[in-house]
Amino acid sequence: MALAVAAVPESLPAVLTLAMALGMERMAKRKAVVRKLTAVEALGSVTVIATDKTGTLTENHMRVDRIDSLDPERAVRAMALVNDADPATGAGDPLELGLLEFARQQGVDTVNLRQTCTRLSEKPFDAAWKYMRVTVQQDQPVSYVKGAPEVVMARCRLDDEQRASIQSTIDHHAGEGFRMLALAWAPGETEQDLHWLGLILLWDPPRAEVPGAIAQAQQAGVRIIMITGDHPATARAIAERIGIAVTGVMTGQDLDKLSETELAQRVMDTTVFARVRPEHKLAIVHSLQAQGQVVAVTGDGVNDAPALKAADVGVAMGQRGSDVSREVADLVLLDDNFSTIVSAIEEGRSIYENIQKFVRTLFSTNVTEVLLIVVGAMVAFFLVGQGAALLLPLTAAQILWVNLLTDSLPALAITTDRNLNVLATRPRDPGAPLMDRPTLLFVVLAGVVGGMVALGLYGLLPRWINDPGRVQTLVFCYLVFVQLSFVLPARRVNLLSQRNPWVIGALVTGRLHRWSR
Amino acid sequence: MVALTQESLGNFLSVTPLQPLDIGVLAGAVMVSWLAAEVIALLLRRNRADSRGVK
Repeated sequence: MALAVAAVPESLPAVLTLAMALGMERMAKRKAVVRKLTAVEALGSVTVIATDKTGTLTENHMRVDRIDSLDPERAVRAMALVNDADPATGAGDPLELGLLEFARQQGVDTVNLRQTCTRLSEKPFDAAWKYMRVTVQQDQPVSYVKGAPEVVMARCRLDDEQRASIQSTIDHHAGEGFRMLALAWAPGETEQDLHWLGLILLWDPPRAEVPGAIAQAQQAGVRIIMITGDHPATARAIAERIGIAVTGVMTGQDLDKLSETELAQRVMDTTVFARVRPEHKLAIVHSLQAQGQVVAVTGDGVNDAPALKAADVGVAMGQRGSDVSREVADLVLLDDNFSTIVSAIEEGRSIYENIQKFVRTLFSTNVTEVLLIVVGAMVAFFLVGQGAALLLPLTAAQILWVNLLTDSLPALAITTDRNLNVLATRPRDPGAPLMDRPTLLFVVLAGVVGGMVALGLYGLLPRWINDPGRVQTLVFCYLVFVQLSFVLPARRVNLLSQRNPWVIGALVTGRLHRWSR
Repeated sequence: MVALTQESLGNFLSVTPLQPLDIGVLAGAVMVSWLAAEVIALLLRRNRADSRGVK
């Protein structure tokens, strides 16, 4: 009975669950809501973060930086006219409102312009054709077109030299990290043979905290991959600006041409994937996982759901994410911010370390108890054979009391430990056992030391103390105090922990117990 | 009330009052074990930090 009580770490399931739950609460305070408890453990061993660009790495506040046009006056008027936002009420798409605001700053009375140039017809924007057209009544009907540069350019009347020049301008601005919209116009109600007006340069600045978070993640041995639907040059420019080392940019078209083996090789050395579709994202995740990587993937659209589900840690966006993406994700970022993923990884690693700490505490003290009881009982029976009185080292009630004092409060307090510098080490091998070699060695060595000293007291004290009850009480008290003392060395898993008042409080509470009449 | 609880607990745990000398022995034994565990933990921590490639 005493042996069973000593050998079983009764508080382990409760402490494990509490450690995870407290970790989830801490993550929620840092704006990362964990939807699945198992993700907490996976977060600690993430080796690759495959992240979106727009909104996650950038602010997703598109503003007009400038226009590149030979006829800026007409271009600014076009920005106000081929626009569905309402200048009077301020209702409409944020991007279109931004265009109106820019036109206003250039001195255009947008409300008056809309009233004088009445809209005759329109073709709304759609992702299938990537432009919108508005025909307004000026002196005569005039059509304005706004859309993706390559689409608008294809509808303009331009010679080869002009096309090459415009394409060169587009590539140049994309290389600076700008997103672009093109403007064109033509008399009458038409979408063909347009006159090229120019480019609107849009700037979506990187979030201020992202470069720091990326540096932190890279220092922690986590690779960052950018996966975006944007132009490759824009993606490269943003990646370089935020500190992702760009070793090459692959597009969705490039990925389609690769065999499985080639893909496996490229995903390991490419950091920016542009113009990709959700199915490419899934292929990248599978390829990384096949090579033993632990992958966290961000996603917001319905089409991202398979990649989020396949990833070791699927990360959905709380603000702009679809319901479907949030439903399948393991982690939801309340602020859609990349740096929150790094915070979550930090918490995940910290929780794992805390679990190792209380495993060390519980098992090392259990080894002490088992050693004392098994060897002590054998010695006692041997002495009985020699005619001595039977004195077992501890009774079952005493062991229960020891466990009550030493396993519960200190182990619970350890779950609140804040571990410094967990991001200074490489990710844990996902296949590594919780009871790794240093932990096992600590458990055995510290447990044996505790057990040997207890046995020494048990064997030697009867030479000087004739009262067997006093010897048993002394051994019992030793066991309580030594187990409480082992909490401190057991916390030295790796580098440093912050001072934890809860642990100190638990130790003091344990030591305040009164054991004698 | 406190005394009664202490007596009940003492009976339940089958313990007897300790003498001042016992307290000294107890403190010494705990101190030795604790220091030994600290040394073990520090040695293992350094080894572990090396093997994980701390930067």
